[in-house]
Amino acid sequence: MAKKQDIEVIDDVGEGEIQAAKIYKTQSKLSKWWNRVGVGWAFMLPFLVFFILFSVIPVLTSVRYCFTYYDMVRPAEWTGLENYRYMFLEDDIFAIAFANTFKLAVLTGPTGYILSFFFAWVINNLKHKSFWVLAFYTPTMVSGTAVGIIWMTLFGNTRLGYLNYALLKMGLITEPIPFTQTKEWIVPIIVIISLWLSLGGNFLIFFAGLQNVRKELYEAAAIDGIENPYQELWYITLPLMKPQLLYTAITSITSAFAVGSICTTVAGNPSPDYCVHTLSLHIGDYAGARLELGYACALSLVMFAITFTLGKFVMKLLSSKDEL
Amino acid sequence: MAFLVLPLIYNFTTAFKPLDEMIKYPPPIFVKKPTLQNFVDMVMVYANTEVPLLRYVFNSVWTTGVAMFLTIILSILCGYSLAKLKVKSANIVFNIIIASMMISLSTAAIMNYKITMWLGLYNSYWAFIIPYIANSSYVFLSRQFAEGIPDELMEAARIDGASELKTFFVIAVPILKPAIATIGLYSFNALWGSSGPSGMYIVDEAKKNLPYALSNAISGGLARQGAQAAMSLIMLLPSLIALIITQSKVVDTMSHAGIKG
Repeated sequence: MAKKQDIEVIDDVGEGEIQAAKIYKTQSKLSKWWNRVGVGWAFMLPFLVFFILFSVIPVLTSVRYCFTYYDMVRPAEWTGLENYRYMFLEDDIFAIAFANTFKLAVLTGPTGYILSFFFAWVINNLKHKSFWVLAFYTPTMVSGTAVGIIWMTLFGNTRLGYLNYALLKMGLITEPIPFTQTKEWIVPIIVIISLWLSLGGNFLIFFAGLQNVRKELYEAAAIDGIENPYQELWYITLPLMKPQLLYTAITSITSAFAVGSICTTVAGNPSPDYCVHTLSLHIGDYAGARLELGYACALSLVMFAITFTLGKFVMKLLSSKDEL
Repeated sequence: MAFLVLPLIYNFTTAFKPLDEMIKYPPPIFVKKPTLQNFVDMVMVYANTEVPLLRYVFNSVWTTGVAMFLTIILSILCGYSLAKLKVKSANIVFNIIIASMMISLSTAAIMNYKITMWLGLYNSYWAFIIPYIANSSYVFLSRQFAEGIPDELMEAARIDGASELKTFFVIAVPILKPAIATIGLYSFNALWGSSGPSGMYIVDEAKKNLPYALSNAISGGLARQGAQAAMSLIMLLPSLIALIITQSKVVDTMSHAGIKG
């Protein structure tokens, strides 16, 4: 654009010349500014408008409730740090929920992450990719009730549950194991189900990311002496997948710490001895059943602080530029 | 691997099960005497309602379609800008976006409701759309995929005199196709299944959406369990179709996007 104007200005001989040159100068300043800053913001603006309206403002205006007692009926009553004092010093169940959340997050997060990358990578090298993608993503898609029915029948507590039935038939046990009522069994069952559920989402991102790795790179690498697929994976695929690896890492952390509804499906709420009572269930308890929204808000903020710190740490590890 | 598709198969077969097979325990995975009675039941539930079933279908398809389209546009524009346009404060914006992905306050819902009302979305189709189109995790996803766009390609387009918008559509969008397909799929699934706005903001029965109508008309009662199974299959099918369409696009890009590099 600027070039064309340039030529016009030069062609434009006569009294208007100075004026035209002035206009050109201001225009180019404007267009320089536009190219440097304006375009970037203009591209972000449509999103930012709705983001600010529906995410930023609601969160910022309601963060203050964490310092109050608020039950939605009476106006919020300022209590200062009372919620936090109660949380860390008196709320025994918070401590349990905190530990459980960490335990489940550690057990499901990394494993699910690695598994879904592994499957995406393997399937990307197979024929009939679309079929496999379908198979992997369906768990994420089918209704919660179907998931509940299938898994709960598999781990049924009586001799009619598939697993109990099979074990009895094989003579490995004499009495059916009440899987979803025994503390020792509940945790592994939840880990299995949530791994199974989380596989699809990450898998899809990895799979999409793998499609962006250009084939020529592998050919070029072959010339440079990279022979087996594992070297390809380590030296080419993984570095190029960094953006996707970071995205899935962040979403995995977020969802691993938000585990809750599966625990209720498997073990009920509250679970036996609160053995799988998680932070998100604890928050739900206070926000929903007890209507202590102030305390629920404080709990949410603590959970946010943990996930955000972890997220920043992962970003440092996986960031493709030195940006943060 | 059959393990993965089991619930899907179960979802399918249950819709064709006669009542006596449906209430069996343990629930059989395959159906012995398939029947279409459940679908007949489902239609019968709507035979006497004021609003025909098709109207709900239309509402859902329309609002989901528009919301999906807007979500994709907003997300990839912003993600692309964050990754490639080098705005000075992009990092701050990015951090806020990440933070918003991780924070969920039940108290924020109150303000959300107020803002939706303040914008005049009460009893309007836009109540299904506007509050949901700005999703920070989709922006994050777009940004990550946009990082893979080679700078040289963008420079080349600029030197050829392409405007930023044109550079975006000609260079970035084709490379972002896998991200677009993924966002499309995610947002479709989230929007298609949610009945929330119908209950909160919509008064006109004729403007409510399919999940709301289905869950309302067919809730409870053993007699309607068959209709319920039929309904869950009908809700699932579009998601399945969306998955197949979007994924074929993802696999497709491999052959195209590669050449340009």
